[in-house]
Amino acid sequence: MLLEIENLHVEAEGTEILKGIDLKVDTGQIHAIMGPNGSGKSTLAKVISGHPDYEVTRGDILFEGESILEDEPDERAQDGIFMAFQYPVEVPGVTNSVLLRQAYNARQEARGEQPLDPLQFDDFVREKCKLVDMDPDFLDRNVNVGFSGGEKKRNEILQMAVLEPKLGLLDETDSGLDIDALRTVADGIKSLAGDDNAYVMVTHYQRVLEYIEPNHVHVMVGGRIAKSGDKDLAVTVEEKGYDWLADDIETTGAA
Amino acid sequence: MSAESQMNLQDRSESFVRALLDGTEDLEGPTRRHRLRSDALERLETLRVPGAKDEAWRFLRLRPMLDVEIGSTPTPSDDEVQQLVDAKAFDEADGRRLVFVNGAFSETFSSLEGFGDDVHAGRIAGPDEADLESIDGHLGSAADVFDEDYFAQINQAGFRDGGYVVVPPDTAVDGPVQLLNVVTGGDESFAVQPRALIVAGRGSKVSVVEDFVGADGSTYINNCLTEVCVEESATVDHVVVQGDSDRAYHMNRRAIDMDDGANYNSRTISYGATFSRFDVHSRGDGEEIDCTLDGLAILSDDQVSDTHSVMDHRQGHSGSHQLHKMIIDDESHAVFNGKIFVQQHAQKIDAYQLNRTLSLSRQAKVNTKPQLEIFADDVSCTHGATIGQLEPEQLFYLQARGLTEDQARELLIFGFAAEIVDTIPVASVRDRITETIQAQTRSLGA
Repeated sequence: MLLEIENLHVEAEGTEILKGIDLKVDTGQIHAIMGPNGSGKSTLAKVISGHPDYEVTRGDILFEGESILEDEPDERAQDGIFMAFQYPVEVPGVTNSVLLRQAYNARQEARGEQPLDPLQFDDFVREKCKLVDMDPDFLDRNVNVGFSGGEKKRNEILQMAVLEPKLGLLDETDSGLDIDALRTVADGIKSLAGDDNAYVMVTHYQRVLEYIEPNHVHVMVGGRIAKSGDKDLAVTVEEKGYDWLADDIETTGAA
Repeated sequence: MSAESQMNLQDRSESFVRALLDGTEDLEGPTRRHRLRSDALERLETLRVPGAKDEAWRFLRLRPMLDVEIGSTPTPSDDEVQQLVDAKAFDEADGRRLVFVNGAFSETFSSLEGFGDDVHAGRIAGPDEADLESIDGHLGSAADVFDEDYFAQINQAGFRDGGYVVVPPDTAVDGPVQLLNVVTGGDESFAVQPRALIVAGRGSKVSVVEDFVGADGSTYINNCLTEVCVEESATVDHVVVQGDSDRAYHMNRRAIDMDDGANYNSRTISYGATFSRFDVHSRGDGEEIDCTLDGLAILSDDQVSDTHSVMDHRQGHSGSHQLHKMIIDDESHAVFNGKIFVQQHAQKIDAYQLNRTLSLSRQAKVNTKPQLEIFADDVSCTHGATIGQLEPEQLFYLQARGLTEDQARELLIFGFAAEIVDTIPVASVRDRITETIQAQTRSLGA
């Protein structure tokens, strides 16, 4: 099993946000996590990648069988966990190519593999740019500075393509994208998905799931997974909203 | 306590002046320097050393500098100088390099053959001093804005030599010029007074890199004065790099005169010296001028660096830009005071000024005061100051990409500096400073 989350409870500033999450993700799978605002779905992605604002109070996260709770975000990244940010951060003064190369080489070194020099890396990254239909000029621009919303999201996918993670967490990567950008991003993800990796898409909307078909859909409500199912669950959610699940969870909670 | 240290400030400053002027009392001959000297000495009669009560100096303590026992200026070995020159000399300026060692012109390390026949360049106080007509009317002219400036007057009265570059009208100098000021000495402390004059004639173009470098461990006072005259429609790119000894005191005055259509584009990078003070005064005495006074100061340990700048828009239809960045670590102290004047009939001025400080330590201090004084009514001026720390969200973002916390920190600090460094127009100087700053940032914020 690639990722196993067991009874995960998480707090931020004293407030419990995740109230007992269980989730298993194996290689070759694509999962979608849906849910209304404030349900904790973005928190889940951040906690897996090690965001320092969140405290795990109970439960565990196992990656390839080992707990990663004590690992720094960079150690998790080097293990093969990648989160595409909902709000990609601007890094003035640092070009995309510098960040990408440093990140790529940090991972190479962590794996005991050869780093690429700037010229080798340039060839490598230009190929990856094609994957997300990105103008290589973007490589010379400062990370996310002055990028449009769609460009920022594509840039996240480019980083993911370069780092080739085992587990890709996509935190609302589809939100704010127009239809063309959505297709590009979805095609990028599809081309990366394979038998030796897994993707978890956190999303508000069902529309991205028309382009990337998930094997598993989970709906989060109030810090818990209220329901899991196959892709049809996403359609049901789209039609019926989340309220019926909220009732559901209250009943099961009372039981 | 020795009698010396009990001296009051005024006595101390008098002996300071005497020491800096030592050896120039009997300056004879060429009237140019002699006249500057006698004027300056006259002004010094009425000037006193600035203290805490002077607004422009209130954040600084000058006493440690005034207390430096100024001995005779040493003559270092060529080997010693060679090392410092090798570290700073850059290929593009080969043939256009003026090297001063402890204030004295060095034949050995300078190379002037690349200036071509048109451009006048060389040393101010050479054997041909009396015949240097090209600098007549220029040397000392822009510096009149510093008539009331104590340290500028000490330089005027006591500089022994200096470099000049005079570009005739409609001439573009083939490549960058380097003015390299090397200071190195033994156990005794001493003072040097570099001087530079850059004149870009009507419609001409020149790029000048002014480097200050010292051997770490040497204690000295570097009291510099640079004048830049940018005549009608001329362009000057100017990079100033302060990399003095870790025990040096760097006093830097720079006066810029701009005529109609003049373009002055400068980057000042400061990371050396225990104490540095920059006073930059740009006088926009023409229409359609464009002036950039960008800067970067990187401070750690107990370094102090203060930049006071004046952009004086005296005529309309002009623009100025100033992005001044400071990175402060440990117990360092950075000061910025930038004034923009827009005089009454200087309409249609577009002036921008921003001071940004990145603070990496709770013990580090910053004082900042961006200032606009506008007497015209049809202008667009913005100014501001920000002080911040490294953003946790940025650190997390980079760590989530696999960079260690140290690597992430380093990259962010460097990124902050890069906004200035990346605009240095001479590629190899940009690369050199990038390396220097990377080495600096590696040890910062730890």
